[in-house]
Amino acid sequence: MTSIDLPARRNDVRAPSTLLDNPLPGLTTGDALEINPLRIGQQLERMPDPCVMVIFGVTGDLTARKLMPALYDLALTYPLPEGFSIVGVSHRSWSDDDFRNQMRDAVLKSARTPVTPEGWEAFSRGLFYVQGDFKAPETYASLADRLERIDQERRTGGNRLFYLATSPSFFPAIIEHLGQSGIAQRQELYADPDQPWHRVVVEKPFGHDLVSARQLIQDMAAVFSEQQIYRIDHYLGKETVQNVLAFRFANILFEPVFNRSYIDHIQITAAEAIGVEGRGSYYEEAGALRDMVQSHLLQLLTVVAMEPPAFFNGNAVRDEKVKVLRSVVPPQGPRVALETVRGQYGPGFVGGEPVKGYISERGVQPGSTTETFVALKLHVDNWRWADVPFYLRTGKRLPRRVTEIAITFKHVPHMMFQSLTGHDLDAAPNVITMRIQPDEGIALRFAAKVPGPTTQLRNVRMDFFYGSAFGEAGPDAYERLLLDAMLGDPTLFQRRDEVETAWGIVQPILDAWEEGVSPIRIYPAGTWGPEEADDLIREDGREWRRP
Amino acid sequence: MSVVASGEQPVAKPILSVSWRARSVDAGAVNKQLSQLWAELNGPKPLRVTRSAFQTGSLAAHKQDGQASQAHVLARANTVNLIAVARNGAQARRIENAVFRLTHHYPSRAVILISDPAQEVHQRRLPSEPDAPTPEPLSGLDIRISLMEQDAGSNRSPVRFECVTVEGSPSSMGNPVSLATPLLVPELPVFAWWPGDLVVDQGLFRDIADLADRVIVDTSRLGDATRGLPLLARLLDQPRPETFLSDMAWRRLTDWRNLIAQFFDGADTRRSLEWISEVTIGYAMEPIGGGQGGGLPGLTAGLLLTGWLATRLGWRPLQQPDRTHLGLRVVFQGPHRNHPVIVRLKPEHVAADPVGLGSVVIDAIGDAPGEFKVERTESNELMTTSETPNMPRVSRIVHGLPTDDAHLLEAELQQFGRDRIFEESLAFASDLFARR
Repeated sequence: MTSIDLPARRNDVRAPSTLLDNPLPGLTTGDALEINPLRIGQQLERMPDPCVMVIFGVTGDLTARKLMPALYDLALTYPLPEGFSIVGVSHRSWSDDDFRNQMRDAVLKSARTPVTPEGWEAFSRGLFYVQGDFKAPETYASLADRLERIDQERRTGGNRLFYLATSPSFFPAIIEHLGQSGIAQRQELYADPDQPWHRVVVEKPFGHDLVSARQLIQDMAAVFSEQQIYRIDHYLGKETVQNVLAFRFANILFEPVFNRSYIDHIQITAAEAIGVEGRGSYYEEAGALRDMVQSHLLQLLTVVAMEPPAFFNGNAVRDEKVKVLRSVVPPQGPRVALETVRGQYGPGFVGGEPVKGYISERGVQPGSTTETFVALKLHVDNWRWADVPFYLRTGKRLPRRVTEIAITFKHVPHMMFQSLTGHDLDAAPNVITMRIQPDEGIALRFAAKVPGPTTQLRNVRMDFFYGSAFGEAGPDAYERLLLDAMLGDPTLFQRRDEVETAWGIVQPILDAWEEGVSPIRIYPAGTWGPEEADDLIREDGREWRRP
Repeated sequence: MSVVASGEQPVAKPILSVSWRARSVDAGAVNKQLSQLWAELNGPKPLRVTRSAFQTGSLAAHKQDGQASQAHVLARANTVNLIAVARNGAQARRIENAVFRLTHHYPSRAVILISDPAQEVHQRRLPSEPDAPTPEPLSGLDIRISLMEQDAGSNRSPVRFECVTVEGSPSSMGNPVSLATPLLVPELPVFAWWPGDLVVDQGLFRDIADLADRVIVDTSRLGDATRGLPLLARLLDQPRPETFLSDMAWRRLTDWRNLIAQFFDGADTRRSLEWISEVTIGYAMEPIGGGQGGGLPGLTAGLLLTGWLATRLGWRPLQQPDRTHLGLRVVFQGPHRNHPVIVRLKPEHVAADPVGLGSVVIDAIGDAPGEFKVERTESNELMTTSETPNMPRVSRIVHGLPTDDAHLLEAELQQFGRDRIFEESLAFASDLFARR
């Protein structure tokens, strides 16, 4: 057989090239089949391998509200590979069909993708359920059996993503049994890439304190290597948090002034208007410091304070985050009283509605001293941030829901504009505000001349709303994180040293509070926290922002 | 189970607009009007401190509320320009239908130029002057500028963008490029959408393409794909090197290409790529309305997909395509195995996508046999099925990208840079019909 001659190619178009004929440099033709040539040039260049996701605690709220809708969206629109399957494990005596019906309701309620009969039918063929006690070996025998059948019927190839959506008290038992039953295999960094992979995802809180966090790390390390473990902080999956990195490191404008020479202080606020919403018994064990500061607020601190990594990949980013956390000076001993405030909401009004105090919430112990509000001052002791205080605050039943990072710059070294009357010169310092939620975007406050015959300055605020530039809401944070876990990309997950270092920052505060330092202050619901929080920042000649 | 329908796409509505008639377009006047519309939209006038306010101390009182003392300038985040050229009323409606249905990615400013011969209006020759000279056509342009508002979904602020429409007869429009150039927002990429036939207006197409960073065409609307594709391939040479080309017909294939590639992501099925023996592509058989030569838009999609497979997998055509009453048949030689690869393109009824594909079936033989199929369902989803002797049949449903103009245009507005895979596929498909 002979091939016909094709016309000479235009200069600006390469001759048809394929990896089979023209492999990438360094590859032999045989190696070329390691890469799918049909993937080249496609926007979705990385597809996860077919796998089974095993969700422990599948009957809980997290699966219904977040995980299953995200998985449905991914399966139908990304799309996930053929054969992708989910096995739910819990104590309820459900059948496969019961499970599918429950998940259908969850998906109908919360998925972004329209649910059609054919779409749901095809997706639900990959849903299975195993009933059992997390502490009983029989559960894992049943699970192993089911997984083997799924591998055969749905070509999932032995790849497993374990998701622990249970109370942390069950983590040790689940991890141990996964290891003992052989369902999970330990895989080191240089394991054979042709072997199926096993990964485990855990949600925060990662331990109750530094000791329990280390114990959990140890328990998991007995079965899984570090690169198999994916610790979720869903804040990292938020588009706006990732955009802080884009803002800082994809623009040359800002990085030169992101340091102690130009920045006066940084405020990080995570406020909620809601109370504990009936989860008093969980919250009694946590409190605002564990629930929000140790995880989310310190994550926000790292993205705004870290040094630029050389690459945007797993360890490069995480190395820089750990480095900046290690530079944080934890308040200790008597400094805890000076640099931390803890509060608890009392009755008040939120949005015009009267609300009860924390102590009256369901599940809360009488006389509870669990804090629902924390304000603290941290110092990052490094070349970039020395003498720049970081003020963090978080609380429930505050006037509105808002999460933001506000970077306040120093005043100009010399104000050449003179005030004529004493009140015509609004020369407040520049502020960059990164709004994480709601009204996601970035605002810049700067001084401008007011039109008129005299030189009068007024602060103006320039707002960039993501919604006005990009109409698309973007995927839910869990879609991004689950996909990354399937792809084996750990960039947006926490590493063990990051977890330990974060606990190392808050542990001295917990210890001091245990000894009665910083007594709990009651604040009316609907206000911005106790007055002592205002004093904390006023002593430094500053004020909290009103977001 | 109730079906949650995707529902009608919201349509952007003009919230403020101004229109006038003029002999030419004054860009300064257009920009000034737009500024005034934005100012009107944003509510309170910009803060102006008057001397009387100082003297009465009202400004001091105003300053006690930290928020209110700051004038609030809403900085709109501008992203891209879009120019679209219509040569008749039908194209104008197509453009507006698409632009006003954009939701997720949209231009900050859309400039729509409608140069419609039907707009030529002549002065009437009075019955009492039968010998009067031939009347000149009335000149003038209808200029309309609008702030469009589009619903962005629940709990989200609506999105707003600018739309400048200039409409007139070809003689009034003169050089459309000179009308469009000063209306573009500086520093932003320019996307040009050419929904018309490339064959008819090659000169204007080249002028518009010179102005743009990216030109978007739709080869599915060509009269004859076997002539139109080579024409487009030649036109790749014409724009300046910085101008990139996009084809909505290619964009419609995104999901097909992704799903086909996905069959072979696994090491066990990847070997089947070398053993492909037959590919059957079902394309929409409905001819284009409006009488553009009775072309078959789905055939364009089929040829582009063929070009993609051939260029990615190293197939070489052994002969010119055979045209039969059953469609087209092309025989290739694969790069490694001593067997031909037969590609059949056959028309079929595809109600859900009259300009696209209905099915793709890939058969492999020899050491790595298998069948891999993608089909469009009645409810306009995509069903994939694959089976090999070693692996049981597995199928699933995928909710693909809608293939209406608005969604395709939105996908195009996210493309930057050269798409070499498309250009290679286009070149290959067009060369299949090169005359010898």
